[in-house]
Amino acid sequence: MSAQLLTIHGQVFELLPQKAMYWRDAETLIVSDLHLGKASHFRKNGMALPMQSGMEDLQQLDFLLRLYNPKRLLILGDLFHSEYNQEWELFGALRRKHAEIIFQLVRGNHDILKDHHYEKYDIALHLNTLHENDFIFSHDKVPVKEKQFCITGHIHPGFVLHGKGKQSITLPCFYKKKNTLIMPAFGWLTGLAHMPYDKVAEVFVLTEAAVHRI
Amino acid sequence: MTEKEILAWFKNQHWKAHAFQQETWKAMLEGYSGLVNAPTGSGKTYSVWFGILLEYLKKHPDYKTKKKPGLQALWITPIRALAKEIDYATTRSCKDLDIPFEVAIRSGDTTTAQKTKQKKNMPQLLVTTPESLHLLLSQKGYADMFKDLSTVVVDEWHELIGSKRGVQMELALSRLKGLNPELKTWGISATIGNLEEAKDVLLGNYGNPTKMIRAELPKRVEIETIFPDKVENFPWSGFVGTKLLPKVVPIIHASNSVLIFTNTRSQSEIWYRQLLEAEPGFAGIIALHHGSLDQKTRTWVEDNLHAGKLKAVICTSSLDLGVDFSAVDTVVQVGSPKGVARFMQRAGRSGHSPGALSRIYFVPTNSLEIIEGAAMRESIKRGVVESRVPYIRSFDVLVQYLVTLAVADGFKPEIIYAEIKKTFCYASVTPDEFAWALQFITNGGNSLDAYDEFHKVIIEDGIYKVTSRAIASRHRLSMGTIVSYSAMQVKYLSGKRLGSIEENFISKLKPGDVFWFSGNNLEIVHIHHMDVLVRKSKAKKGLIPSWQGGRMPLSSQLAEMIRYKIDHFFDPGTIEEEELKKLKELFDLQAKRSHLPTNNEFLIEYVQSREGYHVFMYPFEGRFVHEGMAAIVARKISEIQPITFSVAMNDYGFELLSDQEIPIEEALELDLFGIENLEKEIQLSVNATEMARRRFREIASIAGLVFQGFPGKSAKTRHLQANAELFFKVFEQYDSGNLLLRQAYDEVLDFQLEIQRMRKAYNRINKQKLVLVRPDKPTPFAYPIMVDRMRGKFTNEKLEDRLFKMKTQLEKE
Repeated sequence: MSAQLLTIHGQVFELLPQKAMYWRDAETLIVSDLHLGKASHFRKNGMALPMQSGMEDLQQLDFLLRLYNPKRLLILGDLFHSEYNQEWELFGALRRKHAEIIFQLVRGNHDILKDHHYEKYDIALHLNTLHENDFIFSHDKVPVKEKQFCITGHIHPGFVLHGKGKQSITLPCFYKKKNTLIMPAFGWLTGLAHMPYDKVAEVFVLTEAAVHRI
Repeated sequence: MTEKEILAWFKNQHWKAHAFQQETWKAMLEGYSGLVNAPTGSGKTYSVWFGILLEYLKKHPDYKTKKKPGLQALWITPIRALAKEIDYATTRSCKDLDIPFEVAIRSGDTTTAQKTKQKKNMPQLLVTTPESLHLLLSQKGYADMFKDLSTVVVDEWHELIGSKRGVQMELALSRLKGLNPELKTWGISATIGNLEEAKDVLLGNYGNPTKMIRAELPKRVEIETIFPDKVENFPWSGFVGTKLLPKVVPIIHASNSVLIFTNTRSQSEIWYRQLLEAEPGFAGIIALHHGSLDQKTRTWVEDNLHAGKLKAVICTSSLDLGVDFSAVDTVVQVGSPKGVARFMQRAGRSGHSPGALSRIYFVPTNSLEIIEGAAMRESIKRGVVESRVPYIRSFDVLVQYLVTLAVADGFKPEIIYAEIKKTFCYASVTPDEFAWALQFITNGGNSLDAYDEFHKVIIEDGIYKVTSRAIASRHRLSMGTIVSYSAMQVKYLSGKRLGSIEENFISKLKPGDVFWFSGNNLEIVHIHHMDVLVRKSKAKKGLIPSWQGGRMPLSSQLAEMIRYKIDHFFDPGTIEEEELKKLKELFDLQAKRSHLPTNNEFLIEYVQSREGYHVFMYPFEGRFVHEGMAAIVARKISEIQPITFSVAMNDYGFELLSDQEIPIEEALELDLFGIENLEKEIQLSVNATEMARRRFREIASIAGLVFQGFPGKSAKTRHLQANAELFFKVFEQYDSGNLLLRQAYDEVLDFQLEIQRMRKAYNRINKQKLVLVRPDKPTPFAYPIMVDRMRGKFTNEKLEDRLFKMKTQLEKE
C-alpha cells in the first residue's frame, strides 16, 4: 500500500489511499465525510438505494482501525447522513468492537442526531472546532492565523488531470493550500467537487492502490 | 342533429368538408378506433371532433332537454397552448349549432377552484395533456370520473410516439380500456416514416376494429439558403451562425412576422442579443421563446405572436408545436435542421392556407453545412421523411405508473398486468419482470433479510396501495417523464420569475457576476438554495448559460441525401444548385488536400499536429452512430498496442486522437470494418457503462429514485438529494439485475448508438473502397470535428501509467 508522507509543523501524517490519514505522532486516524446511514435514510423515504451499499464503508473503517490500531479516531464531520436510522446501530457495533479507541467527532452540517445517540456509543462531540497545539480540526474551512494549520473535510475534493491528446482522469484527492488541508470524503455514497488547479496548492490524488503527489 | 347539419355549418364557414373528415365521422359512428393522418391546418380537429359530437347526439336524442351526462371524451394534446385552441374550436361549433355540450381544459394551469368544479360536475369533453391525465389517475375515485367515457383523442401523436410521454399515453389508455373495453381511441398524426406502426402503438392489442384514414393533402415547401458573400471568409466550424445575422435583418424587415428557429436555447439567447445589437429598433417588437423561460413569459409571447404584434420571435423546438400563428409569414431555420420531418413541420408554422407554398430560409452556421440546404431540397423532392421509433419495455415509466395507481385507490396486480400486456410497449414483459417491478415498489428490491425501513407501497388484502401522505404527495409532485436537470429558478428581487438555468452554470458564478438570460443582462444579487435572485444590469457583456440536453443526430434520410449530393458533385453539368456552386471552392480544397469521396469510397485521413496524431473517418451517418463506430475502431487498433484515444465526432465523421503514433495501416490490414457480431463488438468496445450512466439520469428520475424536491425545501429534504450517478454506481455494484439499470443499457443500444442504423452503415462501408490519405494539414472535413471540445475517451492503458504520463507533462509545464 503506497501512502504519502506529509510533514506539517514537524508532525508526520500518512495520507492513505483509503481516503483516510494517519497522524503518526498522535497515533490518530483521521477520516471525514462518512455519510453513514445514507442508504437507509433514502429507503425510509421510498427511494430504493440498495441496503448493501452502506456496508462497505464500515468494513473499510474496521479494516483501517485494525491495521493502525490508533489511540484515537478523529472524524471531521458528516459522520451520519441525516436523522436517526438503524444503520447507526451498525456503526455502534463497530465502535464497541474498538472500545479501547477514543472516538471524536467534529460536528458537520449533516450531523443532526440527538446528543444521546453519541453518548450511547461514547463519541466525544465537538460542536465547532477542535484545537490541538497549532492544529485546528474542523468540518468546513475556518479562518486561520499564520502559525496555525487547519485540517477539514466537507467539500469532497476531486481533481481532474489533463494529458496530451485531450485526455483526462478525475480522482478523489487531498488538497493542501497554504495552511489548510482538505480531506477526501471517506464515504462511498458521495460525489466529488472538482478542485481548481492552483500553483500554490499541493494535490494528492488517490487511486485504489496508491496516493500520488501531483 | 345529423351529418347534414354539420355540412351546412361547414358551408357557413366557407369551408368544404374534406373526404377524410367525413370518412372519420363514419368510422367513429361505426365504433372503430383509428389514426387520422393529416397535416396541421387541414381541419384535422374537425374530423375527430364531429365524430365525437355525432355519436353523442345519437346516444342522447333528447340532448337539448335532459340533464347532461358525464365525461364523454378526452382530448389529449402534447402542449397546453394547443389545448386552448381545441377548447376554442369545439366550444364555438357547439354554440353555433346550439348544442349544450361543455368543454373544459385540465392542465398545470388549471386552478384548484376549477378542479373542484370539474370534480363535482365533469364537462362532456376534457382537453388535457398526458401528464395531467396521469394526475387524474392518481386521484381517489378516478374510475367514477371515467364511467361514461367513450372516446379518447390523442392529438399530434407523431410528437408523442418517439418519447416516454407516448409510453405514458399507452399506459393511461390501457387503464381506461380496462374500465371500458368498448372505449374508442383516435390518434391524429402528421406524416412520419412509420405511420402504420404509429397506429399499432397507439391502439395496442385490444382486438377492437381499427382504421387508418389519410388526408392526402400535399405540402409545398420551398427552401432558400442564405449565403455568405464570400464563402472563403465563412468559418469552417461552429454552430451559432451569427455571422449571417446581418442577412436575416432585411428578411425580418420585409416580412409581416418571422419565426427564427435555432437548435439550442443558448443559441436563441445569442441570436436575440445580437439581433438587438444589430438593429436597436427591434427592441420591443422581437421576442425570445424557449423551454427554460417562465411559462408566463412564453404564454405572453405566444399570445402576442398570435395577435400579430411581434415582428420576430427567436425560438427553439419550443415553438415546433402550438397554435397556428396566422400572422407569421416567414420561417427561418438557423443551423442544421437535422431531419426532414422537423424541417417540414417548422416550414409549416407560417400561417399559409393548406396547399399554399411555404417558404423557409436556411441559415448555415459553417461552410460545410451549406450542403444541407441542397440535401433538404432533394429529400423534399423525393418525399422521404423520418420514422419515430417508439420506446419499448420502459420500466421506469411502469414503476411510476404503478405507484400512481397505488396512490389513487390501489390496484390488483393481476388486473394491471393483463392490461399492460395489451400495450405495444409492455407486450413482452414476463410475469417475472412484472413481479420485479412490484418488488421494487414494495420493498425497494431488497434482497437482504435485514430489517428494512423501506415502505413505499404496501400490500393489504392483495391490493397494492400507498398509505403514507408524505410519499403520496412527493409522488404527485415528481410525476411525469420530462426530466430537467437540477434547475435553479431565476427571479427578480421583486419575486417575478424569469425561468430556470442549470446548477452547473450558476455554480461557476458568484454574486455581482453578470449573465445574459431571457433577453436581459442580469446581475446576481444572491443565491439561496435553488433560487438565483437577480437585478437588471447595464453591463455590456454577460456570460450566456448553456443547458444540457442531447444534441440530435442528423437523420439517416438527410444523411443519405448529403452523401448523394457529395457523390454527384463532380458529375459534369450537375452543379446547378446555388449551394453546390458556393461549396465548389471548399470541396476543391478538400480534394486537393485530401480527397472528396464518392459513394463507392470511404475516406480515412491521418494527420499529425501539435496535439498529437489524428485519424479521421467519414461515414456521414450522424453523431450517434459515429460515437459507437469510433469506439469499435479504437478498440480494434488498441489490440495492436496499448493506446489511449480521445474521441470526437460530428454528423459527418469522427476523430481518434492519440498522444502516440497510430498504427493505421496495420489496422486497416486487420479488417477494421469486418463485423461479425455487432452487439458483441459494441459490448467489447463502447464504454457502454458511461453512456448508460448518462441515460440513467432520466430513468432514475422517472422511476422516482431521484427527487427534485419541493419548492422552498428545508435542509432535511436536502438530505434526500442524490444524483442518479450514485444510484447507478450502487446498482452496478450490488444489483446488476436491476431492470432499470438494464433498461439504461437497452436504451443506449436503441437510441444512443442506433444499432440498426449502425448495422446498415457497416454494410455500406464494407462495399466501399477504403481511401487512406495523409494530408499535411487538417482538411475542411476534419476541422469542425477537431475543434469540438465534447470528447469521449477510449483506453486500454493502465491507470497508473496514464497518471504517470500526465504528471510528467504537468511538471514540464
